[in-house]
Amino acid sequence: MKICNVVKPIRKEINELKFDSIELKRSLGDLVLQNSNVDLPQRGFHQFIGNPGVVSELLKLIVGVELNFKGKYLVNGEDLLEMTFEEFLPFRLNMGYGFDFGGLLNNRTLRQNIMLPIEYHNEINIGEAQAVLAELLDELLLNEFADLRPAETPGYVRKLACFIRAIIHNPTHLILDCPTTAVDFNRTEKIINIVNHYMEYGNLQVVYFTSTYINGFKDWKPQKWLLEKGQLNIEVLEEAAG
Amino acid sequence: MQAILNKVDNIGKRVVDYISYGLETLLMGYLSIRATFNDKTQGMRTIFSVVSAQVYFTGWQALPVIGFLAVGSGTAIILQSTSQMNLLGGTESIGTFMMVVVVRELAPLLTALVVIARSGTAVASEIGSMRVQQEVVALETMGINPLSYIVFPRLMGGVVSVLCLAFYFIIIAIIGGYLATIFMHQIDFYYYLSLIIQAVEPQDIFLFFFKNIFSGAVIFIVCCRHGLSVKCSSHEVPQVTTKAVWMSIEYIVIFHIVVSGLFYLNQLIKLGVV
Repeated sequence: MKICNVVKPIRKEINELKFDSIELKRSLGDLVLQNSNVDLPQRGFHQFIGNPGVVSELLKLIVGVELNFKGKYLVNGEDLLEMTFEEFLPFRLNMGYGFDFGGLLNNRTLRQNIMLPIEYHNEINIGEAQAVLAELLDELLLNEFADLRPAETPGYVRKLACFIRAIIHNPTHLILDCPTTAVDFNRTEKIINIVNHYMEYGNLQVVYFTSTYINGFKDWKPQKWLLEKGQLNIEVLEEAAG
Repeated sequence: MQAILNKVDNIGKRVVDYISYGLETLLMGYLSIRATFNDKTQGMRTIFSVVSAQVYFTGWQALPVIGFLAVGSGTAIILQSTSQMNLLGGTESIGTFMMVVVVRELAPLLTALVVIARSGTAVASEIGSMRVQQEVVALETMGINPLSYIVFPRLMGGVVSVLCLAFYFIIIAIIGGYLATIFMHQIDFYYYLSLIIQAVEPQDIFLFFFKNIFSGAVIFIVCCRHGLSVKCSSHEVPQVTTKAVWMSIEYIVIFHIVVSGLFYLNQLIKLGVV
């Protein structure tokens, strides 16, 4: 399986993602983080477990689109809230984010949606990206839907399109919000294989994800994090503790 | 006394709100231009493909409506002016009359109103829906600044479209209006055209660009701003669309009144009347 090469040096390596006394609430008022101090690991697989909406909000914070928080979110020591959009961009290009719901532009076909960031940032050869996309569409059996708009496709297809868009630009950080919801077992296996392939041969270093499909990701041996009462802690399994 | 003071207070508050809203809107326009040209990494090709789509929807598709309105306005003005001027004994002033009414006033105002009705509503509701569907957040996660991908192309496309539509309005009003009334008056076409060309002054060209560029910019920034103000529910979309239309109409009409007022005040000062 081919992987896109980054040809334009815009990106900056992410060495640190750190919460410093962060307080974050959902718009509905649910508490997400309260006085949270966490240094997010920069390698491996990390699964966040908690109330679904609350965990989604945490992932949005990690990817830098949830800015309605108190405290500091440090990216390589720089406070996210003090960075402009352009200043954060080189870090953001090293992140891939797969949405829980929505997130595809309705007036573009799935193919155009996936190619949009690549055409926009011009840091990856478009011909190469198209070849990689064709391969990924083939792998996930999405060819027949590629030139349809999101509203014309089933939910699992949109989900997979979001996944492809998140990974195709070969990021170092992959953030997936319930990547396999409504996706069948066969394609779930393929998602896992694709991520493994990018981890082995691409730039991918770390995957933060949330999923209700607990058993599907056993192969990744993820570090589990429990988000509860505003605190994000590494889950200590009972058998391990015992 | 207290009641009067409260009323004055309310009026003052509204004026302050109005001005601060205007300044914030201008700031958004500035930020969208800055975001577009400041970020050297982005592909301008993608942005300009959105601009061309905007010009197609706002400009090209509005030609029939604008043409229809222009013929109607041109016909009415020619018929009224020829009949009134015949009564007064001459048609030499028809060129000036067309210039004053069509170029300076009707073309910019009617074009702006048509664009608000057609495209302003479309832009506000489209962006509102994008917010609801998390498309705007999606753009941010992809490193695409919504100001440069959503606002700037609409602003740019809107200004270009309004300018072209207003020019089209003038041409159709002058020629179409003449042709529609060809059997009802006895003016030679070339004579009529020469009267209009003679009536053109440099300030008309300035006024044409000033009014239309402002209209195009204000309509689309206001509508984008309202569209982006949607939070998470689709029932907000029609509400912000209505608000956007109302605010655009308010700004355009007030702007036209102020500019026309200042323009004629300047004319009067030049003539020594004031």
